[in-house]
Amino acid sequence: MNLIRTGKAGTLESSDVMITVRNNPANDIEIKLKSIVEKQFGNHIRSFVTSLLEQMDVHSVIVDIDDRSALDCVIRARLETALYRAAGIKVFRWEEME
Amino acid sequence: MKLRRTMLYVPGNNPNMVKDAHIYRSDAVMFDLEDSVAVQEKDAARFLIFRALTCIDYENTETVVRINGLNTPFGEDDVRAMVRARPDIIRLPKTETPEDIEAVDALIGAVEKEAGIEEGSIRLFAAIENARGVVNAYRIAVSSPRLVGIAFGAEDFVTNLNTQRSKEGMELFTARQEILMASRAAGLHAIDTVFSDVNDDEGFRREVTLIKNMGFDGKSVINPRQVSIVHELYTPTIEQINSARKILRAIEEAEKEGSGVAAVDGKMIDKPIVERARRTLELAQVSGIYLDEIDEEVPNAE
Amino acid sequence: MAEYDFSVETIQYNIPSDRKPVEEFLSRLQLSYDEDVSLTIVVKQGDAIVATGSLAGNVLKCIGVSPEYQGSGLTNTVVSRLEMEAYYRHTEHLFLFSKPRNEHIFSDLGFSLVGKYPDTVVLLEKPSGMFDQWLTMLEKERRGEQSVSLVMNCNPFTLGHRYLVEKASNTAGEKGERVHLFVVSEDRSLFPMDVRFDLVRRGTADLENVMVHSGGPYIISNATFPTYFIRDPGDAGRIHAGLDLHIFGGRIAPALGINLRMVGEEPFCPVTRGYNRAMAEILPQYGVEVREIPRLAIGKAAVSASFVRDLIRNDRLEEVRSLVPVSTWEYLRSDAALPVIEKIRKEDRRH
Repeated sequence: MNLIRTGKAGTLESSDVMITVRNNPANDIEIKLKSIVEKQFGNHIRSFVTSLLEQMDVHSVIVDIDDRSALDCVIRARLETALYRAAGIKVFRWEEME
Repeated sequence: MKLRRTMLYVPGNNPNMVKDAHIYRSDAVMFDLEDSVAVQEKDAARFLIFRALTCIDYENTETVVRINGLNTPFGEDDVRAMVRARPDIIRLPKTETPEDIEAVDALIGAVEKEAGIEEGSIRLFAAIENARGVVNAYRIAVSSPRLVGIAFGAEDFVTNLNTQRSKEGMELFTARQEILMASRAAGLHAIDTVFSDVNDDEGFRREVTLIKNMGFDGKSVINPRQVSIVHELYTPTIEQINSARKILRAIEEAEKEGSGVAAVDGKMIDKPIVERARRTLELAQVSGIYLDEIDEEVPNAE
Repeated sequence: MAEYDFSVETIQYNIPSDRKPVEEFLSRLQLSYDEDVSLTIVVKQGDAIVATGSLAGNVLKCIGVSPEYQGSGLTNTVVSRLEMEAYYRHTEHLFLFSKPRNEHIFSDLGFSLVGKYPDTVVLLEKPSGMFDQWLTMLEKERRGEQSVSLVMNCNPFTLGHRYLVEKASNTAGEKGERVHLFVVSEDRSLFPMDVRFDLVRRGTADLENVMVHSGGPYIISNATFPTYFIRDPGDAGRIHAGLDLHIFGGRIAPALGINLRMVGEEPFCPVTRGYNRAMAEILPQYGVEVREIPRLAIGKAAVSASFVRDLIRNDRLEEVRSLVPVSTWEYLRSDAALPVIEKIRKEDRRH
């Protein structure tokens, strides 16, 4: 997946997460996490997001996460939305997403 | 027997509401991808509901997704995503003709096939929201085996009619009747429209009582407070419960004796009456009334 | 359950029936509803507004939450929504005005401090830390302990500007210092930003100790001094001018060792005059001397960019020749300038 612009999705409301993704000049995966449940779930969120990125074939990205205690499925949905917006993809391949 | 007394609207782009939608114990929750989601957020809502449906256990609550119409840029993607997420029901807004249903039915079928899902497992609800839909109600009702119910949307309907909603609801009378007739004739559920003034409890109760007496199976609700009010009003009375029990006992006895015909108080009991009795007891049960505790000797226990 | 009670709407500033309830709501909170907003969000409970916020270009402002709902996440709702609206408009560097006592609410939402006008207003930005990054880049251009500064719009660059820059260059040159000339970046003037910047560079290329910088979003911008771009700002003008100057004196001047800011006298524009007065009050508090220089006069008139624009507007282009350096005149005679000249003729704007 090629990120052509900044992608942003989600909100700062309770149980949601705001995720911003953009291309990384250093060609690496960089995750900046701010979470209200950092202590309990910080590590889990980081590794969860990393594995999602790998599944989605994204290797060069800076991910800014402002987490308000979102469930994994919400983090996943917001990350997917942000990445698709960043890649400018309007046609989704749902069969690959299950 | 499926109960659909309440269908709680949940805006499809709000994780906090989406994740907990079932805790208000409505019979069904409707995740909305249509009117409550801004155009620029349609993609976000679709992903959110897709992931929520595949990960969250909504227990016994029936899950419904209101997609965007197939004549919008979003409808087809909504179907492709949602079928794979397997809600119980997909609800098509602004249904006007049987062809509208046929089109979405065909698309759902195609995606079910692609995804290896049992064909026909995803059901449909048609929302009728304007005069054309009302006039075509019966033809819509019989247009697809997937269809399990018709919902009435009064807000768009009154705009279409060039009028406003009133307290008495006279402007909705024909539409409600038509939808009810069509649903009953086709063996479907009929769900009434939302009542948007969440502070007018009295008005809400009046409307629920009215539509319940007309025969509607339930109502679309926009606030958890409304859920318990509808359930309360749909609770059968002691009289109704006792009467239902009498009927079912008469049927049992007739079967034991091998006689083909049962009667209560001299009146013959036929199939519709039996079904209504069964439904009454099911409603009673789901309303939390312990049938064993009711004293049958007190006919007017209110 | 509370979320089921709220609805979020967008309203239009220029529709009076939309605007009035928001004005009334904000005035109850002692906040103003500024005329430069391009988008307003309201959160309603039934028919009553319980929270609101607006977007003016890249600035989030006029944010207010009803006292009974403060702390219940409505600020999150409003700010998140405004952020997304800005994102759809491809605006990614955002600013926010807040009362100083509410700063912590917004830093929780990812905003960092740019500057403050004490006891009155703070300016925040998101993504956080952009201002620090900008200052770090600027520091690389520092030479020596002290330097001279100029801040100009140059709409377009005239001999009046040149005169001021030469004076600054000489003053600095006497002590072996640099001149840091900031060109206002905000692209809201009749001459586009890149043209203005280019004309300044070419018009000062021969002055070796003059370094031309873009003011970025941090000097006389939509964020630091929005009223510069509004016709009749009233009281807000004073506050915004103060904010801009506290930022300049407190953060930008130290990065470059600026201890002197030179400025041309302002004969025409009341907003600029007000700004200059504030400058004379505020910058010395930061050890920055303010020196007003009388304008260059040719004949009886002070040479100013607004005078040049007036001449262009009235089709007296030939008279402009003696008021601008060759580089500017060459531009004005070029094809590239035709659309700009057309625009000036048609519009009646301050800038």
